[in-house]
Amino acid sequence: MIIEKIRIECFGNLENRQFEFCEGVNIIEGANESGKSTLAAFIKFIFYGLSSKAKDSGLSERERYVSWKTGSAGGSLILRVGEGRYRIDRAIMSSGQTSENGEKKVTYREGVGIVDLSNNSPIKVKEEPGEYFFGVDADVFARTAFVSQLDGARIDGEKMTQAIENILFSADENVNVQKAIKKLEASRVALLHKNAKGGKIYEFEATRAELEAKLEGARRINADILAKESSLEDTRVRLADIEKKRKLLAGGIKAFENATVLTLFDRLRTLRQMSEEYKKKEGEFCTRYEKDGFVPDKEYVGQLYKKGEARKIAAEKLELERVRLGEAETAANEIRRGVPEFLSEIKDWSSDEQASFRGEGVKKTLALLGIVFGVLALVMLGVGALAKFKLGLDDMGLAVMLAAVFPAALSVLMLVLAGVRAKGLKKLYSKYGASRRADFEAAIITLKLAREKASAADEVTAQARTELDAADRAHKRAEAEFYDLAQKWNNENDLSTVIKAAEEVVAELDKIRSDMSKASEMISMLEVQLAPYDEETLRAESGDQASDEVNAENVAEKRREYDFLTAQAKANEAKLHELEKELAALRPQCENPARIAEKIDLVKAYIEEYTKKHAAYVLAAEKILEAGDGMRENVSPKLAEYTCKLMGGVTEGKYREIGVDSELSVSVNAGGAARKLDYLSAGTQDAAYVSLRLALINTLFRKTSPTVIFDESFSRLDKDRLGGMMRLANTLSENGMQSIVLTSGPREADTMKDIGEYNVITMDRA
Amino acid sequence: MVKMIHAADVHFDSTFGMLEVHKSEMRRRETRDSFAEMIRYAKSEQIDLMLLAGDIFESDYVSRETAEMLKEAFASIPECRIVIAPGNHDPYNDTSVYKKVKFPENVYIFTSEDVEFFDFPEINCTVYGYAFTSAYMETSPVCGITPSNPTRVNILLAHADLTSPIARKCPMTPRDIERAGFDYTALGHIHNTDGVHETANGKYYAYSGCFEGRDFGETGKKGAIAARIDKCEGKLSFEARFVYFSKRTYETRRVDITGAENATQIVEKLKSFVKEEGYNETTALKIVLEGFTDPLMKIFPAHIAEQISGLFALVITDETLPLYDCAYLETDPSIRGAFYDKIKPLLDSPDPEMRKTAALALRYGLTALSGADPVDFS
Repeated sequence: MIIEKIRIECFGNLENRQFEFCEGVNIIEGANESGKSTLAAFIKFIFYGLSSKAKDSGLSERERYVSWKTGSAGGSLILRVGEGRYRIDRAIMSSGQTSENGEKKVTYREGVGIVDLSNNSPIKVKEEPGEYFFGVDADVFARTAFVSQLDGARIDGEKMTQAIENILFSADENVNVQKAIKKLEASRVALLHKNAKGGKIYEFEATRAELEAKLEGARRINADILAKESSLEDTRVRLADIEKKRKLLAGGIKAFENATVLTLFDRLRTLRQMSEEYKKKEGEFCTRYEKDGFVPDKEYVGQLYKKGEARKIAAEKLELERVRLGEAETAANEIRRGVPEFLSEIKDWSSDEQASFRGEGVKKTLALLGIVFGVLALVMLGVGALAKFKLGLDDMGLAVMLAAVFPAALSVLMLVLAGVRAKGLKKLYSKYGASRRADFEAAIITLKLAREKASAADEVTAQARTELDAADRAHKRAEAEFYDLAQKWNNENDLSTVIKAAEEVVAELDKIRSDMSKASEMISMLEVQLAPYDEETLRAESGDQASDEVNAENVAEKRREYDFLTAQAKANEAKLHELEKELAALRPQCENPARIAEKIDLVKAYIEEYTKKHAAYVLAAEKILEAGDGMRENVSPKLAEYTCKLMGGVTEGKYREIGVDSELSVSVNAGGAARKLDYLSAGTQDAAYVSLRLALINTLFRKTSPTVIFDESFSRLDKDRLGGMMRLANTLSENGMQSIVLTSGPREADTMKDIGEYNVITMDRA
Repeated sequence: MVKMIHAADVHFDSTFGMLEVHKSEMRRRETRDSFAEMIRYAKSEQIDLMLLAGDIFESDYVSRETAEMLKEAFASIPECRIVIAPGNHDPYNDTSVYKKVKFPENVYIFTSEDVEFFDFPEINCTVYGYAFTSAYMETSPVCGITPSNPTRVNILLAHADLTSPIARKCPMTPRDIERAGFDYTALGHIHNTDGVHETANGKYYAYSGCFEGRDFGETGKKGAIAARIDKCEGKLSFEARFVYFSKRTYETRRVDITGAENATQIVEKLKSFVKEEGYNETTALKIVLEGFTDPLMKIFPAHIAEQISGLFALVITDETLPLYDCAYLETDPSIRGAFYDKIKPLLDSPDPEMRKTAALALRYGLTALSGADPVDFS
């Protein structure tokens, strides 16, 4: 495409201006603010219109380029495409409107037309003229055909190598596949980590699990509450029913009780009357049976019995003592009869006993002395014999033998005396019927025992006599006492008659008094029992109440029923309180399960939405990666090929190859050695960048190549680099591509003089 | 002649999706109010028979207040016979409110999965029916059942699923209904009614639909079917009409926002749409945004919804497609074109979900390639 002419009616600060261009390099020189960039913007406006989107400056293209004086922007451009010549006319008009809420609103109307200059007929197209002629949209046009300022290793503040890589890998200077994938990955990770242990989806899943557990609990509690509330209601109904029944029963029972109490009042009255009658009867009876003011009573009867008994015991005792005396006397006689006759005559045996003792002693002493003297005589006789006959001591022996006569005589004397004494003793013993001392002693003992027994029997007899006397006195006394007692009330002396009569009186009186006492007891009891009641009130009440249902026969049954109902009511009240307590404890715990379920639904909706988005991020990243691989395989080599063609021209054949190294970065082949772009001179980087831009145009603009606009692109380049760039522009024109170089100085034109043909347009300040 | 009203799927105490907490609570109250209105209607119109075809409440969420309200409501129309066929959401079992609460004597509840009937000779009508006793009923108990007294007006009250013969919630078919030969089959379970149908043998059946819409799948006005039915010498006469009791209506609409360049313009467009359609405080509206939008323009539906007032509830979902010239993308030699080329087969996938994912991926991919942040969530 070749732009032949531009006519600006009004655009930004340019008004009524016209520019003509040559086919090759057009250098537009103008000071700052002379409208060079506006001219470049006008070219884009003609092909694509003005965007309403606000730029970084805060103004949209429309606001920037539509004149605030005329409220319009417009002009035309004549271009040549192949053999055809066309004119594009475009105008935009603004108009102000005030909206309902008072705000001023600007609306724009835009018109565009293409005229085929070969026949001056309009061409009807739906798309923008730029899309019609170039086959690319405004964005691609701006990103490729407009080359902004080259600033060392940077373009528009971005690293140039980055831009080059972007072009190579994505066929777009501003598109960085790696960055795009990173962004998609970041979004994906924010939604769900690869290990599924983090991200929003994970958090929502956790929330969901938490809520589901909560829901389960809330459902359970809700069901529990419902069951308990039902139970509570049932209990209340049951309680009310019980109360109703109780009230009914209580009414009946109360009426019955009133009637009963009134009966008791009647009974009390009757008893009081009876009590009076008993008192009267008692008085009459006492008058009839009294003697000297004494009326027998139980005590008197008791005394009668007691005295009668005492009299009986005394008589029995007297009789017993009489028998005992008889027995004692008989026993004493028996003892006396048991002693031999001769012994019974001996009064004092103690002197005999002593005489015996003494006589026996003397007898024994005399006998012993007789023996001793005899032995002594024999010994002296022996000794004298021995001395005389054996020893020869005749005299002496004889003397001794003679001397022995004296002891012998003594011995005989003693023995005779002993014999006399023994005779005396024998006589003594014969008195006791004994011949020997042993028998004498036995007789003495027998006598002693008989005497002791007789004495004892006598004592017993005497004692019995004493006892008999005492019994006799006691008997007489008892008789007298009984008589006195009987005489107190009766003149009878017969025990049974007296007692019987007294008992009859006492029994009769007792009966009267017992009846009286019973009546009194009953009266007291009834008085206590009836104390809380007022008879008159009860009589008034009982008039209103009817207790047909309750009667004496079924009152116990009704009371039991009432008690049962009371117990039942109590149990139900306890249950009611228990349920109320349980519900009070449960209710604060229970969150409405429907609300939790709604939260779960919301969380699920988020999970579903985010899961879809997550899948979309994953898919986008995956497909961009695949697309990037495809680009490197198919598009990048073509771009590189065309770029090299251009670069070869610019660098006079030094760099003929540009490609991608193993680290996926761009490198340039210089003399067989691949060198990374970063290490190359700024001029070479410029050349590579612009060449790639142009290669991109060649790739993207399928219908026709646009005019390449260098907007102050070379202002900061040194002479050599500027030369390289101008050579590139010249190369382009040789390849049929028109270029417009916007510059504020003469450097580009001066450089171009040595390179090739060019056209200079000077812009004055608008 | 029997004057009857047929309602179902009241779903007392159920959840209300996509609404704020206080609005859900309000909806639950409103459902009770709507029901009370039907009770008033029954009273004023001297309805003889009220047919409730199941899912009157949700067993999982039902509250004592609801049970009490139902009891009182039913007691307030003692002259009306109320027949209930418990459904899958309010099955008749030991824990059921139906069993726990003592309803008034004019309430007749089916309690078995076998078909039973309540005979009302005073109005010459017999109501047959059955109860769900759990959440599922794999087969229909109606098979082989026919009315025993053809001179009566015979009604079948059934919570059943006519949408699929293999449904798990008592599957039934229109043919089953025709064969059974009930004069009117009052159905419950399906929330969107398609009107009253007449069978080939001159009988009628209908879903009354739900009583109040609960989400955006249950759109339009809701209520009950009021009908007069009579049988004279074997000849059936039937007329029915819908009576609406619902307090709110749910609506789901698609709005094309192609051309809108920013959120303000979208809001303006939606405001005009709401105004033109006459939606108001009784409307719970779901707007599905569609059309083509600038791929770099981020649409946050919740933020847009916040700026539109005058509706009971507004939910916006975004199904717009990024504004790309697909014809151009197809020939774009840059990475965009290559990316589009990879996504394109998925955009044409027979699976609608895959198509949606692919469209979303295309938007995210192109956004990321443009250097912008593709974050589409808050």
